[in-house]
Amino acid sequence: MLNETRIKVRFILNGESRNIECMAADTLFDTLRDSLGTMSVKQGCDFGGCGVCSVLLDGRPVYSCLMPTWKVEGSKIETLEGLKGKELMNLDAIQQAFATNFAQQCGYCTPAMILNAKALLERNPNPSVDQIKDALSGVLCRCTGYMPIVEAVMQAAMMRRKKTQV
Amino acid sequence: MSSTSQEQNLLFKEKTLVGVPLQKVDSILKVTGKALYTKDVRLPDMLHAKIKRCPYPHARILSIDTSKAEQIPGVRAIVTGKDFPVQQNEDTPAVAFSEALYANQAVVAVAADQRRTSELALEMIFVEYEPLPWVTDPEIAMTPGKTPTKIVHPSETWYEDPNVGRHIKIRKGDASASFKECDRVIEEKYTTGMVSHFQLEPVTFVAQPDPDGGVSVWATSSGPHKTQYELSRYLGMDADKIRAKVPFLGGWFGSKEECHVAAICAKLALKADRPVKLELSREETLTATGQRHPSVITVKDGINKGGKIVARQIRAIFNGGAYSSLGNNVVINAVLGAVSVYDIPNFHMDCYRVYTNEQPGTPMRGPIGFQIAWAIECQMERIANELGMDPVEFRLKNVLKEGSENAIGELMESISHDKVLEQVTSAMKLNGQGKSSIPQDSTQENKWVRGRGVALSAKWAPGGSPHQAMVRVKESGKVEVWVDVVENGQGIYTGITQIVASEFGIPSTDILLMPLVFGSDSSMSGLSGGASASRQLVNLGNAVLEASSNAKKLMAERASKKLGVPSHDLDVREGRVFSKTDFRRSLKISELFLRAPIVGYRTVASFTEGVEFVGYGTFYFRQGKLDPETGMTIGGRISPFYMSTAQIAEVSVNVETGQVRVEKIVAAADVGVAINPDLAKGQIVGSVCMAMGAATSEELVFKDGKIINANLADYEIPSIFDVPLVIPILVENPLQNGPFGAKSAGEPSMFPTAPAIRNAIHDALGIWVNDLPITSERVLEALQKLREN
Ligand code: FES
Ligand code: FES
Repeated sequence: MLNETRIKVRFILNGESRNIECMAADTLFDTLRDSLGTMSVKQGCDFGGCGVCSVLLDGRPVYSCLMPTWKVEGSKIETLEGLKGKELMNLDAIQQAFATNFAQQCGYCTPAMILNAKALLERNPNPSVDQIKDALSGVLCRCTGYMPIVEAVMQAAMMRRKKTQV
Repeated sequence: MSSTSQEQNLLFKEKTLVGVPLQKVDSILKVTGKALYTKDVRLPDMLHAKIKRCPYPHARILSIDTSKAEQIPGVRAIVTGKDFPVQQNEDTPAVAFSEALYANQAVVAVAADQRRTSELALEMIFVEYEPLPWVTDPEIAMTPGKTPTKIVHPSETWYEDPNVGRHIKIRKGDASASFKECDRVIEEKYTTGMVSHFQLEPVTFVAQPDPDGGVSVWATSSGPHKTQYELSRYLGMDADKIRAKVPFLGGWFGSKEECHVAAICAKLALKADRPVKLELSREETLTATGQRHPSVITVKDGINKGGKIVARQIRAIFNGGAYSSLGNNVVINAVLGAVSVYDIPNFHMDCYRVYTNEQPGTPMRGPIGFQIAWAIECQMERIANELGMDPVEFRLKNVLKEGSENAIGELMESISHDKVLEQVTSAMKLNGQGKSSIPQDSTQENKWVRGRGVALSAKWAPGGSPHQAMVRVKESGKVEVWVDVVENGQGIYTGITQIVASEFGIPSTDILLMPLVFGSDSSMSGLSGGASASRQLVNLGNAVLEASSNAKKLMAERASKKLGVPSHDLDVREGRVFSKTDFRRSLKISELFLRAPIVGYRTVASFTEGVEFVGYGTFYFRQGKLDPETGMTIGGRISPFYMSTAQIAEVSVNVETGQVRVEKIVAAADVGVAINPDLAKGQIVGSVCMAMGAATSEELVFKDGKIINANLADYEIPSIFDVPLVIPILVENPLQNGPFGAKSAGEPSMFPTAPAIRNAIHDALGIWVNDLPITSERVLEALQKLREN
C-alpha cells in the first residue's frame, strides 16, 4: 500500500555530516523537521508560495518544501540553527540587527529572512535597498510590512563591513 | 513636597521603562530559531491527524463507511459527528453531524502513526451525500421567497427575515423625516469581499491525554482560557480537566479562533489514548476556517447648506457563512464603528448578519469595523466632493468632539479625532482635485497619474473580557509574572515586562515573565480573555499593576515592624522597601527573607515566614448592552474608550492597465501613552500594509459555492515589492484608566487605509470605486464609465 523503499542520502547539515535514509517522496522540509529536528525551518503554505521554509543549499537559498531530499546528496545545508557569530550572545551580525531593529513581530518568517539575508551579504557585502528587496522577495511576511527587515539587513551589512575592515 | 521626596521621584522616574523602545524580550528566541510555535510541538508517540471534508456547499450526509479505513495498520482513531455530545444550543459543530452546511466542512477525521497513513485512510472512507440547494449571496439569503434554503439554527432568536442570525438597530432622532428637509441627500452602496488573515503559521493543534482523564491541548488560539472553556463545551468535559497552552503564534490577526477544530484533535487523542497533532494545510486554513465577513453596506446621508450631516441611515449586511462562530457576537462592531467618529443628530442603522452556505465569518483585525470604515469614509469623500468642500474641513465640521455623546449614548472621552487629522495633513498635504501639487511626470509615455486621499476612523475596545494576573517577588528582587498572555507578534510580552519593571523600578531583565518560558497556559495562570479587540495591553496591564501593588503591600506590612514605620508610608522600588517620607529608612528586599539549609549544610534557600510576597490583580470592565429597539446603551458602556486614527495615502494609477501602486501612507494613531514606541509604530505599519493588501488585491473568490483561489499564486498578499513607504505618527492622549495611560495599537490603523487609497484614486483620476478590492479591472471599468458620461 505505502511505498516504503528507502534511499540513503549523505549531506552536511550545519557543518556536521549526516547519513540518513529517506523515501523518494520526502522533501528536504520533511527530513529537516521530522528526522533531524531543525525546527527553525517553518511552513506557511502547501507548495512553494511563501518562502518561510527557506534553507541554504551550498550557500544559495532554496524552498525546502520543493526540494526532494535525495537530491541534496553531497551538498551543504544550512538552517538558522547553524548560524553563530561574534556578536553579543554568540549572535551573527544579521541576527543582532534583526533583534535590535524590531525586524520581527511573530517571528515566523524570521529564520527564512535571516538566511536569505546571509546568502545576499556573502555575495554582496554592500547591497542597495533594491538589491536587499530582490534578495528577500522570495519570503513573505504578514506582520511587519518589511521595512524594518530591510533596515536590519542594511545595518547588518554595515556591521559586517566594519568587522572586516579591522 | 519635600526636597528629599522630589529627589526620590526624579531618581525613580529615570528608572521607568515606560516610553522606552526596549528590545523585544522574545527577540533572541526568534532570531535564533528557538521560539516554539504550536507547529513545532512534538510529543513521544504522537499521531498525525487528517480531515475528510464535504465537497458540496450544502449536503445531507446519508452514510459514512469507515470499515475499510479501520483495517489499515497504523490507523488509531476515527471520529465523526456521532462522537460528540449533542449540543442543544450549539451552532458550530466540530464535525458535521447530519448535514454539511458549507463546502469543505469537516465530516470525518483520522489519526494514524504517519501522515501518509492518515491520508490513505481518508481515501478509504466512503461518504454518501445528497446535495441540497445552497445560497452564498446574503441579500438573496435574507429575502423571503427568494432564498433557496434556510440555514438558521434552531437555538437562536428568530428574526422575521430568513437566515438572519442577528439584527441590530439604532434609532436616534428621525432620519427619514430629516431627509425631506435636507439640502442634499446622497445615497451610495459599498461592498467588501472575503479576506483572509493569512497569518503565516497555518491553524494547528496538538492534544495529549492527561493521566487524570483530562486533556492538554497546544493551540494556535488567541487565549488558553477561551480554548479551555470552548473545549469543555465541545467534549462535554469538566473545564478543570482541560489544560490549554498557547506557545508563540506565527501571526494571529483574529484567525485561529477555531475551537471546533481543536475539539477534533482532542477527541482523536482521547479516543486513541495517544498524543495527536492536527495541522491544517494552507488550503484548509483558507477554505475551511473563518475569514473576514464580506459585506454590502448602503449609506444614505442628508446634509444641510453649511455642510453639516443632519441625518444618516445605514443598512449593513454581513455574510456570516453557515454558523455563528464568533460572528453574531462581533457584528455589534458595526454599530460601534458607525457611531464613533461623526456627530449626527438623526441616526438610523440596521445591521444584519446573514447565514449563507459559506464557511463561518470570524473576527479579523478590526472585525466588521474595517468594512464599516470603508463605507463611511468613502461616503464622506463623496459628499465633500459633491459639496465642493475640502475633505478635511468637511470631516472636521462633522466630527464628534471631546465630551460629546455618540449615537448610542456613550460619552466620548480622551478622543483625538481632530488631532490625528491635523497630524497627517501637516505631514503630507492633500492634493485637491484639479490643482495638483504632487509633481506628475508629464512625459507622453507616462501612463501613471498620482493622487492623494484621506480617511479618518476610530476603534473601540469593548469591555467584558476579564484578565487576572499574579506576581511573586523573590529574594533577589526579581519578579515572577504569572499571566495568561498571548504573544502573536504584537510585542505584548515586552509591553507587560516594561509595565511591571516600571512599577518596581527594576531593569527588564529582573522580570521573569513565565509565559516566555512555558508559553501561555490556562492551568498556570488566572483567567484571561486573551488577545482580542485591542484590549490585552489595557486589561492585562491594569491587572499586573494591581497584582504588583498588592505584592508591595505584603512586603510593606512585613517591613513595617522591622523599620518601625507604618506600612502605608512604605513603598517598594529598585529592590528596596523604603519610607516615602524618609528615604534613609529602608531595607533591602532580601532582608525580608529568611535563609535555611535545604541540601546538607552548604546549600541554602530563601523563604518567607507566613505568606509569600504574591500579589493578585483582576481587571474587569462590566459591559452594558444595547437596547434592542433604540440601540442606546443600557447598564453601562459597550466600549470603555475609543482610539482615533487618520491616514493620507498617495497612489499612482496606470490609466492604461488600471494598476494601482500605493506609494506612501502617513498614518497617525492615538495610542494613549506608548509603553514601547517602536512596538506601537510596528503595529501601525503592519496594519497599514495588511489593509493595503485588502484594498488592492486580496479576495477569496467563490464559484459554484466553493473557493477557487485558495493558494498563494491566486490569492496574493503584499510582497516586499508591493508595500508602500509608511510613516507612522504616534499621537499620545493618555487614557486615565489605562496602565500608565496606554490605549492600544493593534487594530485601529487597519481602518483608514483602504478608503484613503480609494479616495486618492479618485483624486488622481476622478473615478469612484465603491467595491473592495480595488482591482485593476474595477479601475478600468470605472474609467470607462467616466468616459461614457
Ligand atoms: S512552505 Fe511555503 S514555500 Fe515552502
Ligand atoms: S514577523 Fe510575522 S510573518 Fe514576518
